[in-house]
Amino acid sequence: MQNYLANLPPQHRRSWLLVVIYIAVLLVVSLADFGLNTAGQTVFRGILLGMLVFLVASGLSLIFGLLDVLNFAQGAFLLIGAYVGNATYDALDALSDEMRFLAAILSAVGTVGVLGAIIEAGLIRPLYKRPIFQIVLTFGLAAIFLDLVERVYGPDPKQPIDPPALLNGKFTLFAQSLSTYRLFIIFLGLIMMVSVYILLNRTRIGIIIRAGVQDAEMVQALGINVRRVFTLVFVLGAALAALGGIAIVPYQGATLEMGNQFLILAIVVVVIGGMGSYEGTAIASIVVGLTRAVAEQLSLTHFDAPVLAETSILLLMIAVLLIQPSGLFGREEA
Amino acid sequence: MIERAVYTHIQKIEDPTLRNIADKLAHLILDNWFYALVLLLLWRFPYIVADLSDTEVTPRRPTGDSVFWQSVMAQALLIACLSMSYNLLFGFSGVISFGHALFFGAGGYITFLMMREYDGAYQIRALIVLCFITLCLALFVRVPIRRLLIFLIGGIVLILLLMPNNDKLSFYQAVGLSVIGSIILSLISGTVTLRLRGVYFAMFTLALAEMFYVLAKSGTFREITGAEDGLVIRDLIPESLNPTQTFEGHRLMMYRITVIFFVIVFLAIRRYLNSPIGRIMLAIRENEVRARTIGYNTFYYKLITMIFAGVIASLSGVLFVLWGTAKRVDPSLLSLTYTVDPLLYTLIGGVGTITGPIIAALGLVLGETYLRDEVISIGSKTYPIAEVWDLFLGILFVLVVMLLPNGIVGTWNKWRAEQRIRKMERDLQRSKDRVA
Amino acid sequence: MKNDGASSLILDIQDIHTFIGEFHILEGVSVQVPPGSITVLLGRNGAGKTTTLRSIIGLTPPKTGQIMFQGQAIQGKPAHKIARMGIGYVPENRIIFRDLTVAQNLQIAERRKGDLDRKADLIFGLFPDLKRLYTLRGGNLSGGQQQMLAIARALVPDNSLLLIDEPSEGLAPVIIEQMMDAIRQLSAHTTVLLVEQNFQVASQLAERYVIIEEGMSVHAGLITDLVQNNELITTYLGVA
Repeated sequence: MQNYLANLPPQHRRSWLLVVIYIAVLLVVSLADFGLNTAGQTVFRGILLGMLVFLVASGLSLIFGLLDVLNFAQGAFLLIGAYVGNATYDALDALSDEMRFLAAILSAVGTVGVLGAIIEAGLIRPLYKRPIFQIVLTFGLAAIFLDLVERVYGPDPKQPIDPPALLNGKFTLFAQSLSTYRLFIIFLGLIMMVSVYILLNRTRIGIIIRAGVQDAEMVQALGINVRRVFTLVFVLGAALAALGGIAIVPYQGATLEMGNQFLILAIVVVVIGGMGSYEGTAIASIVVGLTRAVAEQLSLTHFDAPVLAETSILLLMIAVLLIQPSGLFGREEA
Repeated sequence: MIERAVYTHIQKIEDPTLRNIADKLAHLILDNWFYALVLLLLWRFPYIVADLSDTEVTPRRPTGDSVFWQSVMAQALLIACLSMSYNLLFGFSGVISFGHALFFGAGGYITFLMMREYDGAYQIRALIVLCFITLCLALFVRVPIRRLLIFLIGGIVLILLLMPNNDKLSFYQAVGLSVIGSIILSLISGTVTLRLRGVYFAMFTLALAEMFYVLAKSGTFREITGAEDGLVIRDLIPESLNPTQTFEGHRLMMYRITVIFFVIVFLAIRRYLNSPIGRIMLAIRENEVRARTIGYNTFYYKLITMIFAGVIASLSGVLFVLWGTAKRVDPSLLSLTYTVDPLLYTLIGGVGTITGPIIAALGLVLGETYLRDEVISIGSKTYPIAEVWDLFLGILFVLVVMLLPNGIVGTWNKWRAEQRIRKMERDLQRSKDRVA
Repeated sequence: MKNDGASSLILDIQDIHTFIGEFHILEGVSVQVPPGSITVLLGRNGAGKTTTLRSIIGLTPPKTGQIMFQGQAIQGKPAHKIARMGIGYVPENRIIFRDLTVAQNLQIAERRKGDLDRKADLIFGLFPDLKRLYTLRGGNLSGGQQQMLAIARALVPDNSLLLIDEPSEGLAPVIIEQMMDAIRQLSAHTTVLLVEQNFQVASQLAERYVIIEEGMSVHAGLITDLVQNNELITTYLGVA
């Protein structure tokens, strides 16, 4: 901790201050406007959303940081994870609830992981000399995958599946009775946050990734085959998104729009947090989640128009772009 | 060869003025004969289809092949215009926008929303806003007084022209307002993000377009926008521009207007690219850093191109709405489909070529409609083409991006250029041999 | 300078041509580096010295020509494989990883487990400051310290050839002295191929030289001869 604070560049110090102030403001406004109970529920919802967005955004940020590719297909990976996991769950109705759930998670993450490896090696790597085409390719892939999912699984939204009894208890928070599954999602998000952090900071491969984010060529010159690391990171990012997808299904079901919705949120997170910055992504996810939840509650209470929350996210992004274009915790532009 | 013969003959004309005129005329015809031919085909298209299918061009009721294909071709031409405008940004300026559908849909929404909601008070309000903006510009941004005055006077003139102080807003005035609206949209999104790296711009446009799409679709604004069902405009379309009236020849005229629009867009873009601004844009595309080092304000030029592309997209969107059978402004016009499709057509046709997106858009849109009822059979399963078309398009897209980065027209141009170089080398070798 | 069997040379570059995009940067560069020596590439700005180093390590591979390292042809091999054969690269602008600590910068250079432990004495002997700065973030180091780190990093694995590009650039004279000292001590363990604009530094450090002019190697020999040859110096290096 000491080391982290000592090593912090000045812009990041300012960003931390801004973030803390902003969250404090959000909390105060919520308390004042909605009262303790609703405020508490809103904050809880915000953190939940933040965790889910983090899963998609961390992949986006890592992939962009290392491969310099903005993977617009991250939303599609979430979508595929959700639908494949859901279908697996439905198909295995002979097994126990816990097994079905586990199988759903494994199938979601596995399918998307393999898909990610194929895409990176087969489509993205050959285009490394044409970065614009790489972006365009991922964008096109996202559209293709959305179409495929609709073809295979139909246009109707899928109902939420029942989480296994283990996770389906009830608890009361701020006068609201909630399923413990929500706690599971938050817990899952936190575990992933910590795991990836440990990976990036305590393992050799993590150090290689962070070095590669700064200068992949130099890492190559040190004798390390960065290309293989690229594939690994891409698969990791895709798998995280898929995990997010299947995690949502017992909570909200699966719809065709979820891919895009989370992609937009993830994009805003990465822009606010700073491309390639892991801490930035984590912090920004919470910020975006809270903002969304509070904005939704505000527009519900005052205007009866929850859709206005969409604008809040965009305004947040514009604000950050104007203050600090490279993101709050982005790498210093060389 | 014909060209050489013609030009040699022209050189033999004694009178210099006559020679000059003949030369210019020859250039005009010989350089553009292909385009003239295509224009002729487009113009006569309804009659060609009518002859082929033995139906009427202007029947009593809107049925029959000719009538159907007029609608399809018109929509295809408008999508081609949208694709051309996208290519202007992507292919010629290197600006990647993932929110182009915003302008396409905004054209329709602004036009008809204005027509529906307008009342006389808007004029005063607009004048006040104009004065406010001018004041802000004068105080906070260092704009020279002369430009400020032109801005103010121009703004007042526009408002007086486009915003009457009674409740009757004509269709044309509404279209004018939507053009202004799209210019303002371009200005806002451009100023915020064009200074940053390309990826940030792409992400911002995606988020922006998505936001408006959600807003348009949302039930909260159902009274204004009609939510998912769209804005009903049956009563707002001027009679003369209503394509459902086939018997009075309105559809045919609407078709011709669409063709003319298409030609104007094509010529305008060509002119723009050949102009000094266009050349600078090409330099920026090649190497933006160098262009900036030479002293060009790249931001300014990219912004101008954005505005130009946005306006074309908006106008195409308005016409597109008029051709729709449901007579509604549907929120799907703001959806990703109308960003992805022009992107696809631009890539398949050829990034950075003018004709590429046109050929791809026309070919694929017409092809999709033509093959709509066919089925394709792989092994034992049969798939109706209508359902797998998007998948086919997607696969085509991936193939083109990986294998044919210059698109169809682009690769053709490169091949032709290489042929020409090889021919020159052969001629050079031949003359060398002769000397030896 | 012709040489038949490359057995006596650790590095033998034979007439390489390197393109960057459409630009023909190296139009015939040949360099012979005997083992254990310090050889310097001299030449004006933009002559192609850095590109030569990059061609050796494989970041910008040559289109034609051969590069023999310890008797093996390495041109065209992927960069990481070339590095693993025992070539260390210290690029200009000392690209150390700013977000990583000094410790991590050194650890990442390990090619076999325990490399850093084995070389710790050597490295901290040459650069005692690094021990003090061990947990500091790379970006917080001074220019001179970063240069030390960059060189130290190349010493972690067993490298028989070090490619060092403009080590004195942007450094204060006192630091340059320290660094030259370190390089001199280094050359006892490994061969050094240096690019250096600063003729003072180059002439005091190197034993042999090769002059690169407009993408071609035009002259080579012993430094002691070059220092006395004013004509060569003014023709190819601009100023003494």
